[in-house]
Amino acid sequence: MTKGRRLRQWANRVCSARTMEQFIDPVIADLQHEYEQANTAGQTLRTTGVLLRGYGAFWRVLTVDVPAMWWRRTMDDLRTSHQDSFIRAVVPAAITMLMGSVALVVVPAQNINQRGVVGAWLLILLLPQSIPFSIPLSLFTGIVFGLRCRPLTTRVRRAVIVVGLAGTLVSAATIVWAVPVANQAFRTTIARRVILEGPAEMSSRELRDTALALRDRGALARAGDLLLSFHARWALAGAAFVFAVFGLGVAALRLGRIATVLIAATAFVVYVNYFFELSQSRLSSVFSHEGVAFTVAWLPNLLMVLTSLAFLTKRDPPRLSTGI
Amino acid sequence: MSRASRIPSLSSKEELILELLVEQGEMYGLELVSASRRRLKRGTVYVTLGRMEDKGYVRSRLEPPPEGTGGLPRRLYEATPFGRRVLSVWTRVTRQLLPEFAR
Repeated sequence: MTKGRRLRQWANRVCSARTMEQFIDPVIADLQHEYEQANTAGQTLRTTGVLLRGYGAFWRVLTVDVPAMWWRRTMDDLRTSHQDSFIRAVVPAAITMLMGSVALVVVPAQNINQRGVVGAWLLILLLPQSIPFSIPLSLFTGIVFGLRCRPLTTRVRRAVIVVGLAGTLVSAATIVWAVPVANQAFRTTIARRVILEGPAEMSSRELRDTALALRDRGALARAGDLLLSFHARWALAGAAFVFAVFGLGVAALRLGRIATVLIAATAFVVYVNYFFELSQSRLSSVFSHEGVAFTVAWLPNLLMVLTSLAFLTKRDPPRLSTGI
Repeated sequence: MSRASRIPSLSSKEELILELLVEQGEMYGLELVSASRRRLKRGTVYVTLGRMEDKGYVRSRLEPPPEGTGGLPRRLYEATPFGRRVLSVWTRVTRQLLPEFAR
């Protein structure tokens, strides 16, 4: 059997014709050619080396180079002077913050005090909190202004969805993993001793387990607070995608600059305020029902997606005929 | 369109590939890898070549499929006149700029 044929058949299912032609086929053709040469010369050891190198190249292209190239093309599809600068600002910032959060896990919180670098650390420890808000806002602003005067083709819409999903992944990783660790490290640094974790410092699993345990013990108000916090975390992680789609919807309205800024500011303030008001409300015991907490937390996301879909289905008014 | 996207530019890998293609004529991707003395990697070379093809620096053609083996035909690459011109200007500019910034 021809070497690499099965790999090619498999790749053909997941890659476009262009990707196959430009990247996958040449790698497999090289593998087949080198293998044939070594095989004809009877060099058994070399054939093994050729296969290892060839398969290695194939997987590298498929898992690293093709996604990287696809991401670059997606960015190219979205590229305009405004949006480009926004996205270029958002992505490195998100990555830097995420990397900073990784360092927090590596350096235990207790050691921070001993090193005497409290001031700088406090600032870094606050950074993860900003990511879940900065990503949706930056994406929304970038998309809505970048696409204001551009046709919303299928490629552009697809690119926005990809960028939104990527933002959501980064937000989710930050909210679920980095923020609780950073919060606890912040508190420990300030208090200069190890203190017990509060709701904002618990991992998602701990948060939910504690809420359910409290509910079983009848502490409904406290359980409701925690359950709402748990679902709000995930809903907030989805905000990047929701705001990206909302940006697309607002761009479809073809509004003026001031109207666009007003909508952007209002949407963001209402969204953030909604969660703040919920956390201050006296309905905590109602949220001890998981379904209620889930619905209340995800309601803004749902409403924004529905509004965006309504905006996107709006048709441009038919142009008047200039018939002779 | 931004100003940066109007001016042709060359990354170090693109420059190397163009130099090799201009010096040695039509080449396979794997030949480029071995001629580059490990500066190009198999696999990534095709991503760079694909990008250069999109920019119009190189063009490619498929050689006739190998007889009897049922294998895939290999792709041959060569520099386009535009690619040659970009390389020539790029080399001249970098030669002029390097002494200025090396001081």
